Amino acid sequence: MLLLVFSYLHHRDRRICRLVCKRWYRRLTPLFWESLNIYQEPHAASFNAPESSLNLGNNIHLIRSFSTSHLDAWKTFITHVEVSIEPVHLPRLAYHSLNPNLWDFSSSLTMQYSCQFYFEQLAQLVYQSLRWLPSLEHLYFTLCLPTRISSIKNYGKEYFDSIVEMQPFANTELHDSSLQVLGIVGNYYSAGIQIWSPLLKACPKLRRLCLTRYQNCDQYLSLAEILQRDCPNLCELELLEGVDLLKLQELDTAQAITSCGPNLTFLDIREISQVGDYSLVAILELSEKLEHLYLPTCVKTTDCYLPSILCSFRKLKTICVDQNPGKYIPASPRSTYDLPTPISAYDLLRTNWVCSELETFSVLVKIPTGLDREESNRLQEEFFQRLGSLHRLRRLCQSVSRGPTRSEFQGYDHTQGTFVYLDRQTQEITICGLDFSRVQNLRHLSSLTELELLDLRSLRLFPGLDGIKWMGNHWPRLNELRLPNHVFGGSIGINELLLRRPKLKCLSYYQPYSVMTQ
Amino acid sequence: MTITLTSLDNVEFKVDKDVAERSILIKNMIDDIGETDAPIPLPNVSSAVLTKVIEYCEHHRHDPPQVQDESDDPRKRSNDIEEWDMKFMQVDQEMLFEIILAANYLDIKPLLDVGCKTVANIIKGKTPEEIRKVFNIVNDFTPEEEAQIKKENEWAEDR
Repeated sequence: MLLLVFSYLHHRDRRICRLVCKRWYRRLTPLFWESLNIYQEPHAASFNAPESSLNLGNNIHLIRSFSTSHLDAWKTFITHVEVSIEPVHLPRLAYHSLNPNLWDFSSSLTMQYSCQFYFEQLAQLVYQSLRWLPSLEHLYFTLCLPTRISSIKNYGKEYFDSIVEMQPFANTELHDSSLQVLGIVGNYYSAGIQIWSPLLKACPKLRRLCLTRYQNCDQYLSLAEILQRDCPNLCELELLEGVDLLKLQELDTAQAITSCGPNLTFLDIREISQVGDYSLVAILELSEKLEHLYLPTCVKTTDCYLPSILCSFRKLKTICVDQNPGKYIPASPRSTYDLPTPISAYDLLRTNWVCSELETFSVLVKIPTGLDREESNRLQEEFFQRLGSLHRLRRLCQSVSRGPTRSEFQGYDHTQGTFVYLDRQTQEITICGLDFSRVQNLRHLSSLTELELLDLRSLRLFPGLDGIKWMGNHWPRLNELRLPNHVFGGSIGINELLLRRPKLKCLSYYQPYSVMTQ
Repeated sequence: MTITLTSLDNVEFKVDKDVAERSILIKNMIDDIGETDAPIPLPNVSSAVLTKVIEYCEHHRHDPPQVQDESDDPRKRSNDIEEWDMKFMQVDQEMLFEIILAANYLDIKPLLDVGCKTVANIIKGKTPEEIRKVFNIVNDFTPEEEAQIKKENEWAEDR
């Protein structure tokens, strides 16, 4: 009703109404952003203005129309920009990039333009942004070429060689940019890293680099050379898709990657195609300073990498074996790419964990089947005790699955709150509930700020007031709780919880792994 | 044909079918159960409010059905209220909200719109403090929060 009333108000009155009380403010915020005109130019999309402590980034999904003329007065405050030329979402880029409705590139991105044209355009946009926003620290740009590159002659490898020669980014008078974070994202065949060399040279303060589709050892070696020469502060590397580190012979590539930054403290390879044990160990051994590690969900291994990480890297603060915790993109019903590989609890518990600094831990664990009830309970109890001993944990995303033997983990069915398995021989789908409640073991995690529980049965501990009191006593700092959708409809007492802890953010829209059902 | 409506306080109202069917709720009920002499209970509406609602429906009994235009300008206008409706809405604030709630419950879209437009007109041009006073709302912002929102507002000024 309030919304209907507000819909009759003009922007000026809506602004006034936001000041009346908190309830009105909350109701009006979506309308407020929706009708705000900020940009028209497609070269900037999200920014933080710390001085004004205005965080538009959080509201970006609400903004529908842009106009740029208003921004000039604010440009000195802008530190964060995403440039995007992309008609479609890349899997994980959805949260880097923007609501695709914001502008319509898809119509302009036809094959009537050459690949050179797009690179020229991109270079112009990027340099314009950098010149226009001298204090910019954070720039991601995305260039998605019209269609599958490999199938088009004009966008194939030979063509990219001509782009390297063309040097679209060479033409610059820009020096000493304040850029600290640079994302070079695209769907094109890996054009030579030399293309970006002039840009990297202009960014001596670069701390974090995000790349896509750089595939082979040579490319990483040239990248390493450029980075060591021009970007001495680089310590964070994010590699989005394209690299295949599965085979033993990819070891060289793994080593080349680590040579990109001898000071690497952060490595995110969640989106690369595949990783094998050997490559992973090579990366880890060479990156002594590594503290934050994000691994892909499709680690094709013998289950030994995670236990060995846990028992040998004392400094690690983050281990995340996950697509994108807390930000699952609703996958299409048939999509399977975001299924994580569950790691056997036996393997995990086989070694002593030495990562006592661990602050973020996100992993899907499977309880082997065929165990008798007592053994299964013992295993789960021990796993939770281990989790509970990681005293510094602040973010815990934990899921436990247990399925029948000879079956393949299919995912999590959020309508039923169960894990689903496919029997490879009979092609039968089995649905497995879980029956344990080990959360009590996490009572010492007083630093916990963020908790994601995919597993329902452990949630059954929380219904009603006792559970809420328990959480308040043991996790006083908890500010985000992510639960499967249906929990909110159940008798878990979420409303109760929110009433008592108004600052706690409970995310219900959280979409766990989708399940293929026949 | 007449329909009998019973209000919250058990007062019976006899109205013509076409008048009663201005309410989509009642229209659907009649469609569902067929024509009947049994009174239709409206347990959410008091007789005072129902009197007003029926007065509205009688005045608008011959209006063409409203066409839903979703693609309309999202910034709807609130200054297009008919003169009769304007007079009709000159009631105390409590009654105004009761009418809006009843219109929502009975699903009478034009009446709901007029009610909301009237409230919007009350809000227009007032300061936050004046709005709070009119609607008896407590300011639950801290001074810091208030300053923050003011800053955002200022930033989003129409230029």
